[in-house]
Amino acid sequence: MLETGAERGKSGLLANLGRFHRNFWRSIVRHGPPTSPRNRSSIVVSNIFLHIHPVHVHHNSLKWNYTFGLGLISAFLFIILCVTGVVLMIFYVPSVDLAYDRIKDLSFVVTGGQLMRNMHRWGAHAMVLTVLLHMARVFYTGSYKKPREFNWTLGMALLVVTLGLSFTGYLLPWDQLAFWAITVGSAIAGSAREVTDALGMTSYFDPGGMMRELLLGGTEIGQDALLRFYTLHVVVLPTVAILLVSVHIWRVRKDGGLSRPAEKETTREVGTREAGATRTYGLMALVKGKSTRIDTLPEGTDFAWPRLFLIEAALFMSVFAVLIVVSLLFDAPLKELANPLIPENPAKAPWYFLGLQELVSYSGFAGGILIPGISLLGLFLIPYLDREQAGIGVWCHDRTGRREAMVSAIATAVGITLLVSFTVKFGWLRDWYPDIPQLVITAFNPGTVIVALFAIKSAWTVHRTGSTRLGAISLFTMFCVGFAILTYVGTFLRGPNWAFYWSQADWPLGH
Amino acid sequence: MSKEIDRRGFFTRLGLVGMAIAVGQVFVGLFRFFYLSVFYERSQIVRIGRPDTFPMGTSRLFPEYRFLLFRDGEGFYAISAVCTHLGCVVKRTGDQYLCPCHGSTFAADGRVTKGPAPAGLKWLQVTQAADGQLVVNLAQTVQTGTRFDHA
Amino acid sequence: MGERIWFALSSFAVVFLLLVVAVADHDTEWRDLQKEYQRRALAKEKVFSARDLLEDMEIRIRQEYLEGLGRTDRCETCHLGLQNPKMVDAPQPHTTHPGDHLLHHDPQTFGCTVCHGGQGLATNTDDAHGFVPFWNHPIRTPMQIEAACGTCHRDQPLPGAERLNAGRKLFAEIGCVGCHRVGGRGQNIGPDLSALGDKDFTGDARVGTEDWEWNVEHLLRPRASVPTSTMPQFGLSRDEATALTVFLYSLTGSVVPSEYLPSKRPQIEVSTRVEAGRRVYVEYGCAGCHGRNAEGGLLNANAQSGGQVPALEKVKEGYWREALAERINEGLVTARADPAGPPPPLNMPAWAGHIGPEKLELLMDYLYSLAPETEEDDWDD
Repeated sequence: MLETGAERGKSGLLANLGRFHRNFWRSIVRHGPPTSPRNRSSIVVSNIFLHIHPVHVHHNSLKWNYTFGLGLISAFLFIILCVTGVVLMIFYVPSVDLAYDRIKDLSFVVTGGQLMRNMHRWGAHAMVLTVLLHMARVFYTGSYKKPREFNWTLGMALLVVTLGLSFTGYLLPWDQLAFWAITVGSAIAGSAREVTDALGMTSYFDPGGMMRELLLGGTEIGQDALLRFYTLHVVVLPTVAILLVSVHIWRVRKDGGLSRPAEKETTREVGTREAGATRTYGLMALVKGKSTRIDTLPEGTDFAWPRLFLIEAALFMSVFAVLIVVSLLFDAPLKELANPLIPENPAKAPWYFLGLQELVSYSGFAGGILIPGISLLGLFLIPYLDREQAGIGVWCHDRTGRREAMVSAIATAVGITLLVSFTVKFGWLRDWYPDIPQLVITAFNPGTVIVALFAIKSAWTVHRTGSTRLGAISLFTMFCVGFAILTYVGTFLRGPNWAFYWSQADWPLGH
Repeated sequence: MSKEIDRRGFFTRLGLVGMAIAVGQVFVGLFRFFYLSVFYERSQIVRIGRPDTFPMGTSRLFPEYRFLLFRDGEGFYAISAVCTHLGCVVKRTGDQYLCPCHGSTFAADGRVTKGPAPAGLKWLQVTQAADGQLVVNLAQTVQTGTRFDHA
Repeated sequence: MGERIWFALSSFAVVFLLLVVAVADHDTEWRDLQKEYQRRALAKEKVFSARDLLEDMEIRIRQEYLEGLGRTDRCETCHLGLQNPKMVDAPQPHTTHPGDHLLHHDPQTFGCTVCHGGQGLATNTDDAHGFVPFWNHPIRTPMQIEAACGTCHRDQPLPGAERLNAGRKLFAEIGCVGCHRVGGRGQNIGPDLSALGDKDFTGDARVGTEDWEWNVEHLLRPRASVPTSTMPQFGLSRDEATALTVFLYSLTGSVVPSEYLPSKRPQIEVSTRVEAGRRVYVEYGCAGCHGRNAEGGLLNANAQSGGQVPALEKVKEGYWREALAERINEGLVTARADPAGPPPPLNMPAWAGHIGPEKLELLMDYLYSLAPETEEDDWDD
C-alpha cells in the first residue's frame, strides 16, 4: 500500500459519507431486517418502545374474546387523551373569568377545537368504562392470581387515578354542569363531618373540613379550586398515571405475559435454559415466570413481530376512528356559565359517581367514604385473600364459577332493586322517626345494608364451597351488578330534588 | 405461497401508508388549531375618529396603539412609534425620535439617522371608513411620504 | 392476514374521517355573508379608493376585543355594514345601524352585546342571537335595550329613554325602598332588587320576555301573580308598570368600568328650546373658549380677533343659519399668526360627529337668542 495517510483519510471520509445512510440506520436498530427468528426477537428487545412487549406471544393472548383488547384500548385512549389534553391546555385558561369563554371559543373560532374537546371528553368517559371492563376481565379470568397480584394492585391504583383525572377535568369548563357536579363531588370529601358532627367533636377534630379545604383551597369552589383541579388534572395525576401505566405494562411482561390456561404449558421452568441463549438475557433467570428464549419458538406461541404489532396498530387506528366518529356526531356538553347562586337541580356528578351519589343520598359518610373505602379495600385484598391457583386463564373459573356468578348477579339485581324500590316507596328511618340520631342512619342505611349483605353472601359461599375463588367471584359479581344498578338509578331515575322519576320526560316543568 | 406473502406485504404497506397520511393530517390539523383565526388582543385596524377632529398642522400620539397621527396641508399620515431594531417604543423629542433601548434616532419623517435600527420608522396605512372615520391599519405599511387626503 | 387487512382498513378510515373533519370545519355561514356584503357594498360604492378597500376586503372573523368590559364581540363578522351609511337600505345582516347611537357608543369601544345582548363570541346566527339552550341572554327587545341603557346611565334622566326615566321616577315616588333594598339602601320586607336585571338567568332555556311580562302583570296586580304577596297594589297604569319594569331590569350586578360611565350632564332645568340650547353649549364645553355666557374674551394669543376668542353675541348678525351650522360642524382653521406662538387652542374644532343634528339646532337657537335686540320666538317653531 503506497497510499499516504492523507489520501487514505480522504478516501475513507468519502466512503464513510457514502455509507452514511446505512451506518446511521444500523446505529439506531443494530440488527438486520426482522426476517430471521433472531432478528425478530432483537427488534423487540432492542427498541425502547417495543421492549415492554414479550418476544414471543402466546396464541391465547391474541384471542380477541380472551381480553377484548380492553387493556390496550384503555392505554390507547390514555395516549389520545394525553395528546388532545396537551393541545387543549395551550388554548385553555384556568381562570374563572376566561375558562368558559375559552371553551366556547373552541367551537366558535378554533379550527378543530370542538372536535378536540369532544375527543377529550368522550375519550375520558370511554377510558373510565374500558378501565372498569378491563378490571372485570382480569378478575373473571383469574388473572390477578400469583404471580400477578401486585399488578392487580397497580391496576387498582390506576383505576383511582383514572377516576381522579376524569373528576378533576370535569370542573375545567366552568359551566353549571361542572360547577355543581364538583360541588356535590367535593362535598363527599367533607362528609366525614357527618360522623364528627354526630359525635360532637368537629370543633376539635375536623378531617372532613380539612380534606375539603385542602382540595378546594377555600370553603367554596372558586378560582383556587379551579387552579388546584387544573394542576392536578394536567400535571400531577397524568405524571402519576404515566408512571403507573409504564410499571403496569412492564409487569405484564415480567409476570410472564398475559394469563392463560395452565394445561397448555409445555415450556420449561426458569433455570433450565438451553445453551445457546445469549448472555444478554442471563438476567432473565432472576425474573419469575418463564424464561425468554430468542432462538426457538416455544410451543403455542408466535413471534411478537410483526403480528402483535400489526394488531396493536390496527386496534389503535380503530379506537381513533371510533372516537372521531363519536366526536363528530355528539358535542361534549356545555351548560350555562357557572353561577354559584343558582344550583342545578338535580346537581349530578359524572356518571361513574352517580352510583355513589345514590348511596350518598342515604348517608353522606357511608356512601361517600365508608362504602367506597370498603370497596377499594376489598378489591385490593382479593388477590391476597384468594390464593387458589386453579382456574387461571379461564373465564369464571369453571362451570361452578359461572353458576356462582349468575346466581350472585341475579340475587343482587333483585335485592338492590327491591331495596331501592322500598326506599323510594316507604322512605327510610328518618322518614319514620324524624328525631333519630344521625349515627344510626350512618351505620344503618340502604348502602350499608347492601354492603353487609354482600359480605354475608360471599362469606357464606366460601364456607359452603370451601373455595375462596368462588367467594371472590360472588363478591366481585355483586359489586359489579350493584355498581351498575345504582349508577343506572342515579343517572336515569333520579330527577330534581333527587326524587324518583321513571323518565326525564316526567320531570316537573322548568327542568 | 409467494403470492400470499405479496398480498400480506401489500396490506401491511397499505396500512402503514394510511397511518403516515393520518399522522400528516393530524399535524396539519394541529397547525390549524394553533394558528388562531382571531387573537385575544385589540384589532390591528383602529378607528380613530373623524378627520375634522384633528386640527391642521398638529400631531397626536396614540400610546395604546403605538403610533403618531399627523395632519399637514397634504393630508394625514401615521408613523409607527415602534423602533425597527428590536421593537422598543421610541420617544419623540423635538423634531426627532429617540429609541431608549439602543440609542437609534430617527428624523421627523421616520428616516433612521443614527444607531442600529435597520430601517426607518414605518408609515402606516391611513384610510377612511364608510362612515367617515379615519382608520389606521397597524399591520399595513405604506411608502414613506404617503399621505391620505380625505377631501 | 386478517390483522393486515384490518390495519389497512382502519388506517384509511381515520384518513377519511379526518378529511370529513376538515371539510366540516371550513363550511361556515359567515364566509358567504361576508362575500355577499362585499357584492352589495361594491354595488353602492362609487368612490374609487373606497372600492379598492372593499375589493381587497379579507374574508375573516372580525371582532371587537373589549378588554375593559371583559367581552369579545364578533357580531361584525356578519353585520359588516353597521357603520356604512350607504347600506341603509340593505337587508339584515348587512344594514346600517339605525339612529346616531354609534356616535357616542363606538363599537370599537363598546362592542354590541352590552346593549343588544346575545352571545358575542359566537360566529353563527343561532348561537350569536342567543336563542339556544344554555344561553340566557338572547338578543334584547327594544324595551330590554332601553333597560340596558340604565345599567350605565344610572344617575340622570337619559334623553330618548323615556320609559326608563319615567320608571326611575316612579320607583322613587311610589316608595319602593320602603320595602325593598336596592344597592344597600331600603328595608328588608320585600326581596332585594339590586340585581333584578340579571334574573333572566333562569337555569334553563327560557328567555327573558316571559319574565318581563310576568313582572308587568305582577306590578299591576301583585296577588294575581303571587297569591301570598304582601305587596300593595299601586294602581299603576299598564304604561307605568311597563316603565317601572324597564327601570327594574336596568338594575344589574354588573360593574361598569369607570371609563365607561357617562360623564355627568349639566344640571340645568330645561323648559324652552333656548334653555335646551344653552345646555348643549355647556355640555360640549363651548364655554371653555367662548366664555360662560358666550361673552368671549378668553385669551387666545394667535386668534385673529385681537388675541381673544370672539364673543358670540353677534352671531346672529354674522351668520345665517346654514352658515352657522357649517361653521360649527367644520370648525375654523387659522394659521398661527406667530409661528413661535403657543400651541392650540388655536382653532375652532369641528363638531360634526360630536354634536348631533338635533342638538345643533338647539345650540343655534341659543346662540341666536344672545343677540340683544331680536325677538326670541322667531326660531321656535
